[in-house]
Formats: sequence, C-alpha cells, structure tokens
Amino acid sequence: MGTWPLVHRNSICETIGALTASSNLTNVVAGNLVKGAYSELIASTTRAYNCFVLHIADDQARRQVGYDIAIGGAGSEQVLVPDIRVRLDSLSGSFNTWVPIAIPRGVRVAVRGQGKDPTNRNSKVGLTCSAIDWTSGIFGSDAEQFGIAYTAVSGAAIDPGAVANTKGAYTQVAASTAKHWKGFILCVAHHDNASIGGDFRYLLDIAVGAAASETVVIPNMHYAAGDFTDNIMDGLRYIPFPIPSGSRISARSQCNQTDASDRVFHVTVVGVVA
Amino acid sequence: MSYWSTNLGGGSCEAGGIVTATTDLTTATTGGIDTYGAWVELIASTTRRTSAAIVRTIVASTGTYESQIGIGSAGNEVVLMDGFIQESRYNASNVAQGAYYLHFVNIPSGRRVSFRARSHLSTRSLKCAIYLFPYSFIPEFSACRVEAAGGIIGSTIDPGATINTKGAWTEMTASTTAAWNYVSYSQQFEFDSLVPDGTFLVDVAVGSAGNEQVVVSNSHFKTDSGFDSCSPTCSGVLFCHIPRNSRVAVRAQSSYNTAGTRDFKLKVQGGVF
Repeated sequence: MGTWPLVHRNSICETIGALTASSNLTNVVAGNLVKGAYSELIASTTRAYNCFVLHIADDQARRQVGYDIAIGGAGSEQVLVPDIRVRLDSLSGSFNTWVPIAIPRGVRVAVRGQGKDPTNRNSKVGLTCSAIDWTSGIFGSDAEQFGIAYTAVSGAAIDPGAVANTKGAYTQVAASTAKHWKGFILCVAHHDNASIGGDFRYLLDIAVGAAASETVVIPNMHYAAGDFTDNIMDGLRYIPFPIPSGSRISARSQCNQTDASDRVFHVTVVGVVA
Repeated sequence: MSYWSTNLGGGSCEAGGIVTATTDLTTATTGGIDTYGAWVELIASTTRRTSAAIVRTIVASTGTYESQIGIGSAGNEVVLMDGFIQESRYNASNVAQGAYYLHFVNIPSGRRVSFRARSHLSTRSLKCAIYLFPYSFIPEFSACRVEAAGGIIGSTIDPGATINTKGAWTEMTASTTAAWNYVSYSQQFEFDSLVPDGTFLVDVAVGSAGNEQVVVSNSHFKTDSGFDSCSPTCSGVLFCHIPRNSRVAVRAQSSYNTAGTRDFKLKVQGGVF
C-alpha cells in the first residue's frame, strides 16, 4: 500500500452542494416522519473522493432530522451513509463531521432527510470532499447505523439520572454490529425538547460488551447545551476507534444538572464499515 | 489490516482533562493581552502510543481565545498542536460555546500532555479536554505535529463589499516550514455584538500572490444574530497535500456585506508529516 508519495499531486478539497450565488449550501426539505425527496448535490462527480466533511446547517428546521447521503441516478439512489441524526435549531447553527467514506467519480450525489415537524423542515447540506492520490486503511466504502427509531426520529435515550455528576445506567444503542467498523460517527442530540433551562454539561461513555459486562472504550466524551442555544453543540463527531462485528454498543452519561427533561439526550451511531 | 488485532487486543480511548466531580474540564488561565498563560496538565503520562486526537475546548469567560497542546515535562513543554481559536458570544460566556477539533497526530506513550491559552483580553479562562486514540489503528496516516498559520488569534478575512462574491486573498503564512498532509481551519468574529444571520464559503489556496491555486473550495459555516457568533467553529479535517515552503492564503464570500461585521478572524492548522 503506497501511502506516502513524496508529493501528492492532484490533491484537492471541493464542496459539492455549495451555492456560490447565495454563499450557502443546497436546500434539503425533510419529510415529516417519512423520508423526504432527494435533493441533488451534484449531477456527476468530476473525480473520485477518498473522504469528506459533511456540513448540515439550520435554515428552518426546529427539531431532529436524520439525513441519508446517497449516490445514484434520480429514482435509483443507493444510500451511502444512513441516518446522520442532528437536532437543528437556528441558534445552534450548523454541524459538521469528517466521514472517511469514498465517493466514486462520475456519480450523482443526493441527500434526503426525515424530520419531525409539521411545517419547519428545511436545512442546508453540502459535502467538502477530499480527492487525494494515496490510500489508507482508514477509509471505508460503506456505513451502517444503529439507534435511530423512525417513528419519532429518536435515538437511544440516555438519562444521566437524578443524581448530579454521577453516571446513570447504560442504554443499549446497538444490539450487535453487523460488520467491522473502522470508526463511527457519534450523533448526540436532544429530542423534541424545545428549551434548555440553563447550562448543562454531559460526560458520555461509550461501551462495548454484554449487559452488565460493559467495557468503556470511549470515556467521558464532553458535550454541552445552553439556554441560549437550546441544543447540544458539536453533536456530530467522528470517533476514530474500530469496533468489531457482533459488538453490542451501549452508552451512559453524567450531567451537572438534574432537570428531568433537559438532562436526557439521544444517541445514535453510524459505523464506517471496514 | 493489522490494526484490528492489535487495537482490539487492549486499546481504548484515553481521556485527559476531565473533571468528573463537576462534569467539567480543566481550566487554563490566559496571561496578559495576547500572552499565553501557564501550561496546565491534561495527562500526566500517556499510557500508550496514539495516532489521533480530539481536542475539546469550552469558554469559561468572555473573550477571544487561541490555545495550544504541548507535550513534555513541566517547564519543558514543546508545542505539539498549535492554533486552536474560538470566542465567546458577546458579553456572555456559556458552557455551550465549545469547539471540537479532530486531528490525526502521533503521540508516544509515556508523555505528559498539557494545554495553554491566550486571549485578546487579559486573564480569561478556557477549559480543555483531550481524547487520544490508539496508534495501531492509523499509524501511516497521522502527522508528527500540527502547525498553525495566521496571526495571533487569527488573521482578518474580509469577504468584501459585494455579497456572494469572493473577497481578496489574505496571506496566512509566507512559507510553510514543513509539508502538510491535511488542513483544518477555525474562525471567530472577534467577540462582536452585532453579527447578523449569514452564511460564508471559504477557500484555502497555495501559491504566490496573484497566482493562488485553490486547494480547498467553498467550505461552509454560518453566523447567527441570536448566538452572536459562528458555527461550527472548526472546518473539520480537509485532506489535501500542501508542500513545504508553500505560501498559504485564504479568502471568503458572505451572504451579507455590513462593514465591521462581515470580516472575521481565521487560523489554519496543518498536519505535518
């Protein structure tokens, strides 16, 4: 595997879905508790990409949305990355995450979303794609998600419990991963809850193993939500940590406050398949 | 695919700077204006070799910030990752004003990891944690250090008076000291109380003045008048090769052109291999 040529020629990052006429990204109208129509980001990619940064920006949506990134012709889209779940709110603006999944040259790329709001489901989406002339074992070609429930676009509800600054009980996020993962996108967001009453801090543990035999592999991942953002900021994070197939994944958290609504958040995971 | 067997045989993420008693992070105090404060320890000694890091920072008082991650014993710290910038919203700090930076950088086992910060205001506070991921996973992929390009707490990027049109290039560095295998940038609006709702597209280029070649095009972020700031703070990891001795420049376009609020500060980070 020739990983480090002295000079990487033809390496470039370009954003598909960028609209220079408005300094923005492509509008995606999520469906209300159903998958919405696909919005095309590019009709045909001009080069092969090794990985990309996914940008999701609020435009109108006020609740959680799950996004599918797909390739293929109109009506024949194949989902490449399923159900990236965020909770959008105008004050918390936008999210991004690195996604080490390849996109071939000459394919149409489109995005659709499933939201939970009768009227406000617009958002902006784009991919800043890296085309580099070397390869690495870190890049994947597929993804699988766990934790999302389409009935309310919810995730696994993580309740830190009624005692501040103390880890709550584990909640299962994935019963058994189907494939080996090179890493995963950790999606953390509130659910429905429209306002946060104060400053909330969370330390999230991600564990593998059977119930009552969990082993923490990602300890104390820090998140915060405030009463002016009414949301968890930086809720999308790529975690460069491999998970083998057949793994049960669970999560628990502690919080500095105990409000019964605001302390609870939802977790989903999207594994980058090896 | 050796990373499977090696890593899963005993690896886990190593977190430093966590204060579990208060569900909080370790605080660094800045020095005088634009001056770094003292290093504060995040990890006394890394337990294993790692090849990726998530740096998590949260503002603890109002202001603009730049921070660094260092390794080495107390008094002998060497900067490993340079050029993290962010801000608080105007006249109000809040725990939600965090930033999240992913970097692919190698850190040996047995190293002390620390953190320090500076601000355009004096004696501010910034909190930090770091998460380190096992070396066996992606060793060939990662940098030996992260260097920064741009002025103190960022160089000014002005999208210009014409909306939705790229402004002039701003030089971030005249010459990189090493080759970069990826770039990442973060930006802040100088603690401005009047930031309107807006969207921005950022280009990063290499080449001499007047001959810039775009290597990153139209990376997006937005501003919000209620938030008094921008999000996300960091662009994420943008893989593109930038040779040693390259001039690096940045330009942007914006959906609004209000003088005094359209310009912002930006700092570029490069993964050195």
